[in-house]
Amino acid sequence: MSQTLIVLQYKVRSRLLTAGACLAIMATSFSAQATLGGDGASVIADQSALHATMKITTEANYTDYALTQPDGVVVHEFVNPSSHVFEVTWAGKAHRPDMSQILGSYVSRFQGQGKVSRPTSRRADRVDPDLEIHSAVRNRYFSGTAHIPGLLPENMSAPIRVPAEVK
Amino acid sequence: MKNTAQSFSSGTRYAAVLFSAVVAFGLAFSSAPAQASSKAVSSPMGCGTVTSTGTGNTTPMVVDGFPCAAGGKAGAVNAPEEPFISVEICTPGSKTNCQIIDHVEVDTGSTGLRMAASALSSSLQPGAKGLPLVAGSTASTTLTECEIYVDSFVYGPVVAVDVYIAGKMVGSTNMQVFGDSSYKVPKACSSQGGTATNSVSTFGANGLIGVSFALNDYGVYYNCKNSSTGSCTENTAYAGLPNTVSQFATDNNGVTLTLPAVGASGSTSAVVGSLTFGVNTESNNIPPASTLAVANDGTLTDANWGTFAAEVGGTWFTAYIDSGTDVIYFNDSADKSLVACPTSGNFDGWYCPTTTQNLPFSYANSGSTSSKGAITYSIANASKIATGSNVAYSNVAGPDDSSATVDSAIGFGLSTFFGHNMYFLFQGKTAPGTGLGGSASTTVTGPINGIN
Repeated sequence: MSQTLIVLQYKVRSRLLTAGACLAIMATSFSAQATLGGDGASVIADQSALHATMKITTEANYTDYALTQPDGVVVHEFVNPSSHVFEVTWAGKAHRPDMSQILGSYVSRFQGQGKVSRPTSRRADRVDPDLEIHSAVRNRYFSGTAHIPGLLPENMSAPIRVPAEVK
Repeated sequence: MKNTAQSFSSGTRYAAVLFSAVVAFGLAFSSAPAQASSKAVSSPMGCGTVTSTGTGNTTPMVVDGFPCAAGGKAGAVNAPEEPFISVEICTPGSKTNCQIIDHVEVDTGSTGLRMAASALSSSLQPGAKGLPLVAGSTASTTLTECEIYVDSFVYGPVVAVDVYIAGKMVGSTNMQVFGDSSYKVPKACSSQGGTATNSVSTFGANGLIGVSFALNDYGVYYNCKNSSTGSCTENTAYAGLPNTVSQFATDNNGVTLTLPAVGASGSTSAVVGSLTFGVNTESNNIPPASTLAVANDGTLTDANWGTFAAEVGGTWFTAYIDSGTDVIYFNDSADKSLVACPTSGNFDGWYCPTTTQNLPFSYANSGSTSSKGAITYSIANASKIATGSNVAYSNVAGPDDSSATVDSAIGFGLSTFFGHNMYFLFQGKTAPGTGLGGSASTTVTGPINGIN
């Protein structure tokens, strides 16, 4: 069902001019940390900030922007038909991505999720009416998903969750 | 201690052996001077009053809620369902500049020794006047670590230290000191999410001793040219904080955690057990032949390294046993009677069944579905058990929402330790096979879990 439209495998360095130009244009209308809940165009800002390569896949109900950091961490930003990032996911060995960058203002709710706040817990979940975050770590493999229920595409009742491509 | 006399639904057949061991430790512990001077503190470990870390290869281990970080009064709870030991540290080579740190969390899910700066005396702070800093891998740098947790992190310098626990000692090993405000957190660390747990109350312990299967920690390390400004670059050359126990001269192939059973209503008073070093190395750490033993994935590069297989409700999952996790987390696809607690309350993330459920879990080697044995765990209504006053409980569980993140797993937390001897044979370490999946004439190699 999925169809890969564009594969951008360039390192950010080689796209600096393009990214810079995009950022300059977006600066008037978007925060550079828009990301979750933000406009789809802010994905480009995240790509730059994360020094990531980008692969764009169009699905029936959304567009998947897969950002791969140099350290192998993969961030997905899922954009709904009205061009809002309704879900971000992360997965990687030993590292998490810059959470402020991908969660934007929602990052304040990343800490102390729910009642499981013990540092050594392997999982943490926060379910609010306007935001749901699941974070997990096992054997130094970090993964998680955050989504805004109100921004889910009309035909979807649940988030996409973390694609299992990072092992 | 009255609760220890009650049988634990999952471990009745082991209760007799276990109880005698616990009583022995309880007596030894209660005769220690630490308790006599603990005043109003509800724990036999006290707060800053421990004078002994045990003898031989055994140190007392308590589950007391860490009252010290909650005012220290009887009944105060900062960190329930968390096991603690005491660790003595000294500046390298010194027998006098030393301190016994109580309430060091025992974590079988991570590796390495780390202490809160605020728990250390002024003469044992990191730096030239205290614990020597460790050099980075590039010129004129010092080594720091960012230990990233599921929604938080700790950051700070790596120091050299002599470690004494019971009759065991490691000279000039490495330890992290976290929460020292003079060490600015590099953005590359703090940006990975959550808030630094710099205080002992937010960390839930004075420190942590990671005794997982892994012989080294795999945290994120930095070479810092100027640690006070956070001018640091990532260091990928350092092997990682060592597993302290693996560095002991003897009894270094694993650990044995022993805790008495707790009753169905949980325990408001401290539960006292032991952490014993070595597996099948001394008379006090020999797994009986009847021990339920499972071999974990021992390939370090595997995503499933350090996990075995477990089944509940007809479905097999990867699984792990972790004293740093509080209760059991698993996917209840098989048993819909386990309703989740309301998301709006204090029990969000746990199960709140109307009546207590008894669920059998089967254990198997990693990659196998051939059961080595089953243990039935009780799952009660968390809102009735995991109250703020209980420091320990054996019958709480929660849903495994990692199905939203990674593949589902079963996490057997500390609640599954009560009433058992839990054996952990480290990665690549060997032991006589009895009780560990082999026989008296065979040698087995970790990572292996044994449950008795």
